[in-house]
Amino acid sequence: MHVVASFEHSNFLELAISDLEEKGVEKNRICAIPLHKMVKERALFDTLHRADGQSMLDLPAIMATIFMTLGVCWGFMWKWGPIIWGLLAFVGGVTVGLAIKYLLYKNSLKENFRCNTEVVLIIDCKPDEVETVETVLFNHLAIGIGRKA
Amino acid sequence: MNSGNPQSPKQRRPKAVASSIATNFLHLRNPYVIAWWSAAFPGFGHVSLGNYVIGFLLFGWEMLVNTQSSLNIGIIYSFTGRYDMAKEIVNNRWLISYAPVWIFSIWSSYHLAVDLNKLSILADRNHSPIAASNMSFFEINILDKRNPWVAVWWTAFTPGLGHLYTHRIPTGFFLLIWWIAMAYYSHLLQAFQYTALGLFAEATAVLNLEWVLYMPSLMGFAIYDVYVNTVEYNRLFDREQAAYLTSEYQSTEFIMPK
Repeated sequence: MHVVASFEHSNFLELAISDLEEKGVEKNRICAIPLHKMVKERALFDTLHRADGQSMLDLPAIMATIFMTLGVCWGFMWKWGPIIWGLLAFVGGVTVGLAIKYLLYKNSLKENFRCNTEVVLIIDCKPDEVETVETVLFNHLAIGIGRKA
Repeated sequence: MNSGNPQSPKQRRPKAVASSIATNFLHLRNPYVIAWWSAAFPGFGHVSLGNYVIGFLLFGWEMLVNTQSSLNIGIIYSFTGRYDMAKEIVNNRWLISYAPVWIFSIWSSYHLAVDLNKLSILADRNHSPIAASNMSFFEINILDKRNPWVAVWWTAFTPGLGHLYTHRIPTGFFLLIWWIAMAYYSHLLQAFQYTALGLFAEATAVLNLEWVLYMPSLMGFAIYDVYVNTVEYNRLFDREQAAYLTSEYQSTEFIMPK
């Protein structure tokens, strides 16, 4: 029998494999296949598990720095002072930067879909091991688990 | 050194080198963004690329010449239309030495980013090995998945903290120490307190113009750099783990489902 599970890359995955080995599933009965992404990876916001090298924060950070510098300069002459104007300008710069980034990447977002599977794990089990193996996989954050008789 | 033995492609074009205090590694950078950070504050572009020694030197030079020439005060006067006061306040003895090194730092970091991008692509194609961890008596550096927004959040409180979270300790300490110095000399936190109490005139009066103008650049850079590094460390983790699983858990004896 075979149990198949999908995972994201994480230390839980290695813990799951070592847990299986502790429970008597030998190394040559475990097959791990890291997947290559077939879609063009491009998302507006990077997450813990995905990133596309297109930094969402570069333009907002640049705009925020420019705006904040000017806000501090001019804030000395305005009623609320440099702190409030510096902070307001910072927020304004981030907003402007994010807005520009969003407009630039709005079109390419459409081809993005959310699929987290990064590794497929296949375990060759004896029938009496199936329950244990599935429990181990479930306890280590498998995204999906299936079996083939 | 290893005379006679040619290095393997993987040794010649490494992807990442881990020490216990940080992992220095190559990933694709936008050279214009790097050049911008060098313009905002000489040294930042190099620090972001991982060229710490050059980066720290250029940063120290900037702090010395800027403070001695009163450049920041000159900038504030110029931006607010008080050109005569700007001319009067700057110290030409120092100011004139500013331009060449400032331009060098922009030019140099731009070119480094372009060159390192090429090496990064070569390292990727060679599948150069990545160390998963490095431990020493002083520190424990483990490649792990970290949330870039948590890093940004800490950095927004105090620049440097996010870098400590993502384990890029040289940048972390560097930003932390300079931020504390700038916060102290600029009287920033006193001004915060006055502002919170609605005493805007007092807040304006207590602030030190010169030192407060350093802070937007430092804060902006810290947030950008910690975000990029956390995201790229996560990608490094994925690559390392994929290579490990492929080499260890694809036994030829494995019986695929039929």
